[in-house]
Amino acid sequence: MTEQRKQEIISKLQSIYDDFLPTEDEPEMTMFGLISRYNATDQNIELIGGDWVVENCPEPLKSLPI
Amino acid sequence: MSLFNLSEIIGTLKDNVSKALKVKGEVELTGRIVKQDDFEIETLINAQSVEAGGNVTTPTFTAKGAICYLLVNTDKQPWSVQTRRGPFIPTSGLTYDGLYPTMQNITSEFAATSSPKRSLLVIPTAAGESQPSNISEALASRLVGNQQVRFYNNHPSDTATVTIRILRIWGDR
Repeated sequence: MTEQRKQEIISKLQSIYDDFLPTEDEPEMTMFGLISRYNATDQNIELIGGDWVVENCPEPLKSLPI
Repeated sequence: MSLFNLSEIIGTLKDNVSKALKVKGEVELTGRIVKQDDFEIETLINAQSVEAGGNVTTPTFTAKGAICYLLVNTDKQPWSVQTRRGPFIPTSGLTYDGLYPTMQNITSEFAATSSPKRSLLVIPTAAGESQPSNISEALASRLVGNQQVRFYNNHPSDTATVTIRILRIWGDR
């Protein structure tokens, strides 16, 4: 993966995190919620997951609860 | 099967960690293994993306002498989970019989991590043996030793997100 693509993905994930609004059913963003939303964009051609986020993303993404 | 409330267990774990460490505010359970006196939750697969028709296999895990429940969260359906035929049957291959109830062609999504699909890990049945017919029989055949599971995303077109955890419970349950 190129550095440019990596930063694109991180930016997209950060946007997902920033746009999240808690609900009664989903009171907090989790790693599952983050990746699920990213998969719903059909942009996850590299099939990244939670481990990639932990290894490559800054806080608070890398420390999201499972 | 309603042996316990997973949300309650996680909530109790958070409260007790908070009290023990005198933490102010919310306790986040972000680690791979979260331990309490008589139970622990280990994450085997952390929000992995599985392409349509694809699968993912967990690392080998061990029962550690506990009653082990497999907890699966996924956002697509249908899906399935198999275990190895081992640990006591030398035949290679995978089976649905290592879980009670089985996770074969599940047609519901389980996207809330506080409410995963839950099954007991049991010793897979050998040829000629009957599968457990109730939870008591299943508990009598609970998993010992090592195991692995494989998740199958059977959705025809969409990538699935999957988190797989093990809940180990010690004591009389």
